[in-house]
Amino acid sequence: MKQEPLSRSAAAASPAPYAAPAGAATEDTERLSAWLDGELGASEADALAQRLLRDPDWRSRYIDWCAVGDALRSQEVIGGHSPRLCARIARALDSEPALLAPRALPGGARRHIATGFAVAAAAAVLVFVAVPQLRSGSAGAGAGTSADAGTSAGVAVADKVLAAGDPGAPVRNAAAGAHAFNPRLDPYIEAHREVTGTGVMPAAAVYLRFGGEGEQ
Amino acid sequence: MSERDADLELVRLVQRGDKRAFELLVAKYQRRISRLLSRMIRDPADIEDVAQEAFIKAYRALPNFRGESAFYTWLYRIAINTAKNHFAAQGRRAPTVVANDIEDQESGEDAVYLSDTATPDSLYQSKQVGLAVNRAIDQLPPDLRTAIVLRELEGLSYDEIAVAMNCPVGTVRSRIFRAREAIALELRPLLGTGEDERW
Repeated sequence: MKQEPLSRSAAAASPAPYAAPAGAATEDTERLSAWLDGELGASEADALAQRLLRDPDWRSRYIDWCAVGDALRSQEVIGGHSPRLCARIARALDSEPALLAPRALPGGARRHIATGFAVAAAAAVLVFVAVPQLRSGSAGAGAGTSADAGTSAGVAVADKVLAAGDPGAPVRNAAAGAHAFNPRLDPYIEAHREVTGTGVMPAAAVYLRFGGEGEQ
Repeated sequence: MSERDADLELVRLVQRGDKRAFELLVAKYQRRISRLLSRMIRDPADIEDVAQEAFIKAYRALPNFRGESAFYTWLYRIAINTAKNHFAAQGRRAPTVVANDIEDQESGEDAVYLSDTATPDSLYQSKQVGLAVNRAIDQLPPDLRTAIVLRELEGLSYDEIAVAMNCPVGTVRSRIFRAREAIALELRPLLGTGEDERW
């Protein structure tokens, strides 16, 4: 069957007797009709939608008016449609859990929030995981832990290098003793340590890189 | 506020846990979805199955619906994909020409009904609906008839109708409401939305 939507010409047909529908034309139900068309203010919409869910008469009207719109646009939509479908879907919905979704946000806002969470998580990992590990590494060196063995081994290697007089050795271990430093720098290093404290990465403070000549 | 916003209001209620709001969305769009599916699927029983599956999928996916498109557009895509999955499950491909044609139409509002999928029952029912609609329209006073036609068929806003009919917006609102009530009264016996049914 071909679609035969009503046209403007239908409006020009000769009028026939019209009786107002029983119980019609209250201000409230007019507002419901306007809401269905998206013609109600946003401030009223929420309360109206809530009442629509509670009031069986409103639900009935809403469903009928949706069908009227479909029938006016295409008679086949109604004619070819199974009236059982709604009841079937309603039964299927009964076994579905109620949704409790966060209020939908625009994509941009969601991205910003996700980025914020990522930065906060990274900072938390740094503060609560990485820093304590670094600090414990420094303390362990002084307390004779396994890290101490590594440090001692490093000292031994450094001493061997120094003893061999290798001028190209780039790294010296500060814990190896005062002979590894230029004595003239001692006051400066002491003063620097007083000012900086242990720092964020105290385990790294035991190493000192010499770059220039005459520091042997 | 637009019609899309009215749907979004119901969507928000569903997202806050109220399933009844989703039932209203089903009531509103079930016929359009069925018609859409009838262009791809011949068997009326399959159409019902796929339509039900599409609505349930939409319900489950609703927490992810952000309102960037109209609810119907979003639902429409779910229905198309559900129909394709239906064909895939049966080891068949969706009718390519029809599927592409449907997907080309963003909203499906102007979909052309494929008459060869209609059954004798549905043809008879369509004829009865057509007669009832025409009878109801003919009985309306011209002002009501014009207002409802401009709204439902031409898609004009109340402001535009008020300009076209040279009357206040409040009058347009009243005329559309009264026209709806009158046509619903005539159609109700054919709609299957009696009081003894859940919807």
